[in-house]
Amino acid sequence: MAIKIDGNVAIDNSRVLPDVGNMTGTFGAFFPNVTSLASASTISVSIDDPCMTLTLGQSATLDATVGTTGQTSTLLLDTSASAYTPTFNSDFTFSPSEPTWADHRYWVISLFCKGNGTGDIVVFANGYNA
Amino acid sequence: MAVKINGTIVADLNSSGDSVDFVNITDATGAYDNLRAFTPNIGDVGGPANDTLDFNFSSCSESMTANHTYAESNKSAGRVLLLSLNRNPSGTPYTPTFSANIKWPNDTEPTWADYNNWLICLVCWDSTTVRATASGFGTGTVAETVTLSGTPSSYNSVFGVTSNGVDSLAGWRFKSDGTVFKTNVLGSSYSIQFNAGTEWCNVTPSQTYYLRCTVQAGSLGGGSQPANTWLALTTDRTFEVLDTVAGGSEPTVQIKIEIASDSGGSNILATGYYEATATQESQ
Repeated sequence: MAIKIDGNVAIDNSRVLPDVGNMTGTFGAFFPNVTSLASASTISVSIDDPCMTLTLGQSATLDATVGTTGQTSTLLLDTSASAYTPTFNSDFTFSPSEPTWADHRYWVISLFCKGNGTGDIVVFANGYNA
Repeated sequence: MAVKINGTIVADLNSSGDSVDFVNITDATGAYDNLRAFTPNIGDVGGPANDTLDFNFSSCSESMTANHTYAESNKSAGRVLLLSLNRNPSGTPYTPTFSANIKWPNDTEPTWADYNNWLICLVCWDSTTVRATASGFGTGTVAETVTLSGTPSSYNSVFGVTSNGVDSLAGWRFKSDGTVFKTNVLGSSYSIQFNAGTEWCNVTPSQTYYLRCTVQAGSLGGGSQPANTWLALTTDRTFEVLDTVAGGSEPTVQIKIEIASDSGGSNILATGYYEATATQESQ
């Protein structure tokens, strides 16, 4: 049976905390759910997802859903052996600049939301060959 | 009393009885304030000999007390471990070795000796491969090197010139702190450092080195140390010429300097050539 506080579900029957107003303390083994993004010509990245994986089967344009300031997410991108090219639209701002995707196959991409406007998802990308 | 959902505990008092542990949570959505990762020292996780990067934690620290080879455990895609690494907590820098599962940008592992403190972000790509970045902070460990310069055909030269009635001094001083000074142009004092930061030792020497001077031409004078013998560089060693006669000959000396790591000179680390000329003008 779910646990409710003033009629709001605090912990549901699947042991999910569905709507935490605030949380303090320390955490130990607490991991992000991993969302697997499907390859397509246009791919939507939601910074609500804390961790995403994407293996490109074709070159693709990536856009983003609006997030909330302070949200962070990680995108694990494999451009594949065919070295497909991702194109991040204006929702994203790369720091210091967008990398050359052809330089590496594997990319760990950190996304930081600094607002809900165009370009407010700040991106840091590190490329790997192996 | 623990709180259960369908027989599974989801909230319980922690072992100290002063806060609530949420356990067996399958998902959470919302916001947080002062919610922080429990950050154990790696050695605290499984005892002092534990050298495993445990991805059941999001953050850990390590103060190295020996060279370590790090393995990984509990890897799964998306798990991130932030490692704060201090290579030199006791004044002796140690070297970390990471497994081949850890991949670095451009396939290039950082040079750990460059810095003593590192912040290393490790991201699990899957249950095997981890891709990492590392940022170094603070001072590093500079390798100690002994260097001398000059050749038999190109001596390092110093000149000292004084006016009538003032003794002129010219020479080289190899100091115990690893520096080399030469006399100033006025021929009066050792005030000019030569090749600062490189000659003769790039750092304060960590051991006793030994110097030998061999005269190539001319004669040593003034307060020179003896030639043709190995001298401990625990004190300053000076080789110079002194002109005490106005308008007379201008004494010049050419010397070979060798530095060895042992008192017998069997392991010579560097050789250099130096020249000094002192002049007392007559007017």
